[in-house]
Amino acid sequence: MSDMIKIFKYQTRDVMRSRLVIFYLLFFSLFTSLLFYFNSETSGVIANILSINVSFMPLLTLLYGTTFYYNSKGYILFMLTQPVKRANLVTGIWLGVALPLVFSQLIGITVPFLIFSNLDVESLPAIGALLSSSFFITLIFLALAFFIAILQDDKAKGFGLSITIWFLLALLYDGFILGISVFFADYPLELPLLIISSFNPIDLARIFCLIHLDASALMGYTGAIFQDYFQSITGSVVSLTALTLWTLMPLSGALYKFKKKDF
Amino acid sequence: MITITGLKKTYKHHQVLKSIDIEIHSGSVTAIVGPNGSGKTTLLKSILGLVIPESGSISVGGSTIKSSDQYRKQIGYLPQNHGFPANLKVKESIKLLQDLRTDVKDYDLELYEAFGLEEYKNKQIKHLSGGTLQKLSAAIAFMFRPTLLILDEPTSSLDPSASILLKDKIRKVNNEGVTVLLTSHIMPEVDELADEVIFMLEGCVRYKGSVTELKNIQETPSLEKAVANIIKMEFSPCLI
Repeated sequence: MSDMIKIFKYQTRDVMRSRLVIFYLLFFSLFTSLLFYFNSETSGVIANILSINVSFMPLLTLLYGTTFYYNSKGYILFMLTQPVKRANLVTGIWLGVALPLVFSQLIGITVPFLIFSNLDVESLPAIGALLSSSFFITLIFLALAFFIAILQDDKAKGFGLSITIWFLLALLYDGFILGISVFFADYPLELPLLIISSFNPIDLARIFCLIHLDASALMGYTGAIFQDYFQSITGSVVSLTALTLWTLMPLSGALYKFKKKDF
Repeated sequence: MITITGLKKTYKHHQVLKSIDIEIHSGSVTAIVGPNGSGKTTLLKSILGLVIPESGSISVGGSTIKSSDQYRKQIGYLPQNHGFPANLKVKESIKLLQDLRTDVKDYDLELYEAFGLEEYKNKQIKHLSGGTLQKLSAAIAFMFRPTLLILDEPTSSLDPSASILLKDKIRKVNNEGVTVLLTSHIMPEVDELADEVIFMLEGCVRYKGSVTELKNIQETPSLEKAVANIIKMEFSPCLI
């Protein structure tokens, strides 16, 4: 077994016992159950969970990730004195933190769906897309959080940077896209907006989920374009590829900085 | 055992280590002493591979540290602050390291048993006191039978009886041939354990030699006074 998998195994055990994992599990179970209580439409429930996933989850994951890294500095430093490669250490820890969070979300969402929704074949792709978007949002923003914390030793600056990134991606970006679409309303903007939207993982995760729902009204401008352009399969492949790249980019940045860092 | 040649390190325009050349012999107990900010910690971290020097070379047991991380198999490190995940149990923290260190099968559990850590094995790290964590860190430093022990303020936060047990263990492994490198602000402890002293000031090595010789040069029976005298001395700028 490689060192990375050994570190991942014990890190998972550590994080599985943390309060956030229990909070995620309870929150998503309760929230999804309540949505079913007030709204029997599966697509409506998916859209509501998605709105939480793309608004608060990135912020929560960024703040948890940076806090986790700063609080684990003693552990990281000690592990670096062992015969372990730096890349294996940071990847093992990242996976060991990310997967329990993903797991608790997926269980928290899936169980109420199994209990309360009338699962039909048509809604399965949308549920799958919702779970995939949750998965990617956690992986991407945890990688970003690690990258920020590795880059910035000062805790306060690290938190500031995390909140700024969340503010830019979750709030300002759509405003920016809307501004472009209004300002250049007389021009064919489909392709440029499509490209611009792929620079934001939150937009990508939202689009990826919503192209599986017949809910273009909920998608915002970029999502509507995505649906027009790609429709289901191609759109899924493009957005999944982009989300994978979005996971790998901050992770690679974190690994690069971690390898060269003084502790 | 450890050969350091031309080691330099700068943090944000401040040169912390200024061309350090040191040789630490196998089987010695060497203490690195000096005031805060003299470069002791950076030197230790450089040996451990935690700090990447801008120039110079370090070899431990014949292996150059830049070439691989495997040279750390020789090292047992006792940090000043513990480093285990808060929600893991004591036995899991130890198992993690044992899983990583497959090169050692015959663990040295003498200190683990002497500290009575067995009774804490099912407790989570976050529920341990500072003293118990220090005992655990110390027991782990010896567990994989290292040939080089690096101890950063080894007795800080230990009670007197645990401190005696640890010092006895240091002497015992040293008698068996293990090289010990330690830092401490407690000069009577250094006097008790070390046979060699490296005195650092502003990133330079200002003295390296035996403890007895240092006391003789400074004409005092107290190592504490001898070190205090050197700090007051005026030195010419060291080689950069």
